Amino acid sequence: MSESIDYTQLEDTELVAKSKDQDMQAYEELVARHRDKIYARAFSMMRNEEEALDMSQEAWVKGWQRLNQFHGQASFATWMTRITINLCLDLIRKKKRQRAESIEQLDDDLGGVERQMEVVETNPTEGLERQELRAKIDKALEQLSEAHRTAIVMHEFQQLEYKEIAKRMNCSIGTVMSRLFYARRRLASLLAGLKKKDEF
Amino acid sequence: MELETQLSIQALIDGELSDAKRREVEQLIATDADAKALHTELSNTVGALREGEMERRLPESREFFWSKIADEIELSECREARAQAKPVAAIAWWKKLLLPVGAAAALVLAFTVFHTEGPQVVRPIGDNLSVESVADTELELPEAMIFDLYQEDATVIWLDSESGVN
Repeated sequence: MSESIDYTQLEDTELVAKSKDQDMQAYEELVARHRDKIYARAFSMMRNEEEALDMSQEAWVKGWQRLNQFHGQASFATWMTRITINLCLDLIRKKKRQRAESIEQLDDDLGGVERQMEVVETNPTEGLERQELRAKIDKALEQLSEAHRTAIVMHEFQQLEYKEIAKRMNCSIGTVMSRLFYARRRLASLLAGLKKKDEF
Repeated sequence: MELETQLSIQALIDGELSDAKRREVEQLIATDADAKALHTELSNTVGALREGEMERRLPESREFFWSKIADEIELSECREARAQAKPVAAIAWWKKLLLPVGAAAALVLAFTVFHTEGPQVVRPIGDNLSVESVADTELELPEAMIFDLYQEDATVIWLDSESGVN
């Protein structure tokens, strides 16, 4: 008689090992544990519920297919979010090609505006509760261009270095630096604006 | 302030500077009010972002979401199996075709050899005589007449380099 396994009691590493042995129930448990995080990351990139759902579903399928490439250098969740980001980047590139215009170039050119902006001297997020702060940041992120937002998501949420971001975004380290800079300056301004709005 | 200097201030916050460059930028921030203000603004923004991204719940039930993933995995595995089987099927198809094509080719070859290369045979002239004309113009051999005298149990070959067999 086969012994029944309580998958909810297993660590991620044990579930990964079982999944590598084609145990679909173990993989289902991993999906259940991390599906919200993967979806949230896909949403941060795409800013669209339907696309975020599609990307997170595709990421889980890819994750299953590439499990043998996961050797545990990072956590399983980090590995999965990397797959998600790569899929989102592919979709963003595809959409750009369809729009048949160089938005990436346009985004970089727009940096001049951010450079001229006045420095926000007070901290617009000081004293905010964590959830409130996250909501404000989310609202501000929505107003960034795709290229600037992607740079922020990869650097701040995925904790990737300039070099790694450049590789994934297929651009130079200098471009990554300027995208991050313009994005942060714009975010500072947007957060200050959101604070002022709330004060009225 | 130059863009390069601004980017260096940012790189300092991100921990992407060499020790020498880091000391240089720190010195600038300590002495330049604009550099200090920019450093403060960037640090505040980075600090806020480090609180993490907005938490979101996947807008589908666990069962429904998993069923879609499981279906897609199954489908992709079927597709992969089919793709792997394809070259084998193609080879089997070629093998099936090989036999009739080979047989037909052999027939054509045999027919061609028989009708183009063999010596021209002239039917026997009489009861005890047969005549064969061996003409091979490529080798420039003279025309030849071969007489088989059955009753004498002998063969006579007449070569004529001047004219045809007549």
